[in-house]
Amino acid sequence: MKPQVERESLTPGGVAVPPPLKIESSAFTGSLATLFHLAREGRVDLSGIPLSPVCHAYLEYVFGVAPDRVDEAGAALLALAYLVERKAWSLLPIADPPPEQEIPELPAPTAHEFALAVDSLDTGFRERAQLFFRAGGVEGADYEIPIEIGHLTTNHLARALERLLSKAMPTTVEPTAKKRPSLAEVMAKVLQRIQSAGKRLGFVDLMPEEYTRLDAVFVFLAVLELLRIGRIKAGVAGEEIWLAAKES
Amino acid sequence: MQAAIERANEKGGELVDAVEALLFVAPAPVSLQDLAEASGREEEQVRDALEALSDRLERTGGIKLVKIAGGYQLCTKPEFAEQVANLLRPQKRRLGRSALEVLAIIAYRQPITAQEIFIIRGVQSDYSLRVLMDLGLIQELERKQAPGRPILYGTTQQFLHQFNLNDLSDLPEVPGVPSVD
Repeated sequence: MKPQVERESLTPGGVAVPPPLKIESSAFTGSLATLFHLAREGRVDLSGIPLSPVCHAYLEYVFGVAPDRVDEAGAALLALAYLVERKAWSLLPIADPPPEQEIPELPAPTAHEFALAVDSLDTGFRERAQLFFRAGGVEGADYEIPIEIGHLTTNHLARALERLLSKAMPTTVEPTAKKRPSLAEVMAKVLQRIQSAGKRLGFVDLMPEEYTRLDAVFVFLAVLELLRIGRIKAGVAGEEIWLAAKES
Repeated sequence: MQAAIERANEKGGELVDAVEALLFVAPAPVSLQDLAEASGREEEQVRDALEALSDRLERTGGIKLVKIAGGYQLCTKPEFAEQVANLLRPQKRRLGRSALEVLAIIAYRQPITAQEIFIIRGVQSDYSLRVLMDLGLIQELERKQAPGRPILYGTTQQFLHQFNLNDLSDLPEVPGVPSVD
């Protein structure tokens, strides 16, 4: 094999133009650029092409190259290195593909095993709904076992809070523009409104056209207090609560 | 049982009446131990008194004695449920089938994680778990010593009360589902 010099371009837009190295061997005849091109496109099997003649041709070229053609020599070395690497990879044994991982399947649902348990619970729930417990309040079906807090009662807690509050310093309150009515005043107004109406009134009827949340709370508390002291009576009509004056 | 009733009714049945009074004022099921402590008698004597009281209440009146949620409590007899409901107007509430299914799984398999419930049901149960938690029928017991430390769920005393059970051993045996001790 002997290298022949010819002008050809490996990379038309490239900066470095590889040297025109011509290679002749039993397995391949052509330029280094052509071999490089075919190898890159996978159109030639490098495992059947000995690269030793190519290396020799390159070395001959390098030793005889003019000092001002270093870029060309570099491009040739790059092409040769690529061929060597590709051939090395082609000679490596191909690893077996990894075995496919089996995705474990979820077990089939077994909820049907609980069908009888569900029916049994449903029956128990219905039977229990026929029993009413003394501490169940007005909604007997919603009876809840009281929270276990030892021997503490709500009275104990209320008295503890009362003692605590009695020792607390009063909060400095900034006076607001609007005078806040006392509960007694609101009670008097509500009672007068109910008595003068002479009929059943709802909570909304006791409120002015526009009112604040604080107004609503005051009226609500006033109604509760009036109910407690027996000045008014209340009942339920559908979803609404009615209020009326109590006959003296 | 007859012998226990006769024993309890000796001395005018004073202990029977005392137990009745205690149960009347109790807002929750009262254990045998608490009844014995409050009445100053032995548990065996109180047990006899409870049997005598139950026998008497069964024969007459509108109240009965039930053993529920680990204690004893007085309640109205079911034959008067309609009249009592007319007075109290309780909200009629029913648990959906899916919530009942989740509850049954928890009751029989507790302590159990949400993931384990998912494997049994084949569907997510987050909503049912939330509903059951809101109703106080289940509770978080502890964390499982497993990756992620998932929450372990179990039933509550309220569950026992709401489903007319004294304890978990009262759950009926279901073929294929191991009972809870």
